Amino acid sequence: MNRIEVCTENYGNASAIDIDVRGSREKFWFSFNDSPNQKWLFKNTNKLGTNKKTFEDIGEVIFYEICEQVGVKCALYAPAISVKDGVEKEGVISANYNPLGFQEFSGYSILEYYKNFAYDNYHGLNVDSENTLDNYLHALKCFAATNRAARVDVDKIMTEMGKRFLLDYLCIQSDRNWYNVSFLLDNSSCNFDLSPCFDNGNIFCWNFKSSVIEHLNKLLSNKNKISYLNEFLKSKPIAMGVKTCMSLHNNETPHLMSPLPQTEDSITILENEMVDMILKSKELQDFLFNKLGKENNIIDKAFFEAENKYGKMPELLHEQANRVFNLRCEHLTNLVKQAKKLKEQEEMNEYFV
Amino acid sequence: MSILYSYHGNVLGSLTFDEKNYCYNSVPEGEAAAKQMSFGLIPYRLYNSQELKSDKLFDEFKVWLHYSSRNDVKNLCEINELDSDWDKLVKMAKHELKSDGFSLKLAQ
Repeated sequence: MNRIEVCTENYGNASAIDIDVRGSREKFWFSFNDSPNQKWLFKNTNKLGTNKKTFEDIGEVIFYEICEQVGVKCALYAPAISVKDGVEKEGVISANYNPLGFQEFSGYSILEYYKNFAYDNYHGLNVDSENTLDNYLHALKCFAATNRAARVDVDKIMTEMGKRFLLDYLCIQSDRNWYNVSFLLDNSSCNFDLSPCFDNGNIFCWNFKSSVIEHLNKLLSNKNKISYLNEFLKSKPIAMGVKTCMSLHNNETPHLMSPLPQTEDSITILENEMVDMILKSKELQDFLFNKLGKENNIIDKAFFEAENKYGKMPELLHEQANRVFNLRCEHLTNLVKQAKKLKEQEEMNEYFV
Repeated sequence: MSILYSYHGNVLGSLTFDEKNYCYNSVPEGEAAAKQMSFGLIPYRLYNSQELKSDKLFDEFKVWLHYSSRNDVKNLCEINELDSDWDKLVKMAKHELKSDGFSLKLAQ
């Protein structure tokens, strides 16, 4: 795989601008010398605190290509290598998705706004402000209602969040915590909207070592059943829920989330809530049935595009991602179709009773 | 020594430490400007503080301690394991670190 070199030494091709302190991965802003007005962010994707490689860099690149295919806004990522102070580090670069410098608010900020508004205005009322789609809906409605000057299209934002949630589910995204969701506020137009999605590298267990990925791939090649995938995923918790919280935070340290272990029940709850959400939205149904189905070859196309740009990527990742994505997609599609049929039957029964 | 806490150039207040207690004093004009420009969305609950004291670090500053655990931040700010929480904040303020529109800076 070819990596874009980012050399901020004196003789290099780039100039370092500033460190970016957010998140647990080392990262810094820079610009290439031949285009100094375009800011980029380099992120080291090695295992935290070590030089051990993960495949999160490939995860970022592939998720970007997936988003491009299905029309979801995503920051552009490319595999890179940073040369700084004589040290080489592998990672990714991403183009600045906020070039006009709008104010940016994390998911945590909007959920806290909702929690504090309820507490301050309703006699100490404690509302659920955990990292769930339902709570983002409540928070956005609260924000829009209390700030008439802000232009907030809640339905549009929630549909986009729903699409991203589906993609995260199909790709076994394990790190969609409330700091990996953000909103941009344009102070001149007062438009408030989701930022492009970012920090998407923890997909398909690519943040784990090769042996874990190999094990999952082998498991699914022998027994291509959702039950085996769900059993495997019990120790790989997810960070966002639909209605039911999937990860908890400690009030003392909001930047630290403790994902709840996935049990068979929690996956069932999550899937039931997803089906409910999809049934209520024609757009999400269209997204699932027409854009994500097996016939669209989403993973193959994503790898094709990425390999055209950056060269060959590990075949293991391609194969494993295809298995997981298609298995989950087929399973979710079947659940939605069954639920839809049941609902139609109930409506018919009501009509004739 | 005090640390200025700002949002997009608006000074929200200043933080000091006297070996026992943290103390925060608001800058009302800065807070009002920040609140207005952000429609109240900034995660900040120290509005209108006058000599607000606590033996525990205020929530707004805890995330900065988390940042200080990163190797590149440690190297830049010369933070070591023996540094107290206050020392770490001061060192980060010396380098005027920024995050999500917020910044730390040492008062002149």
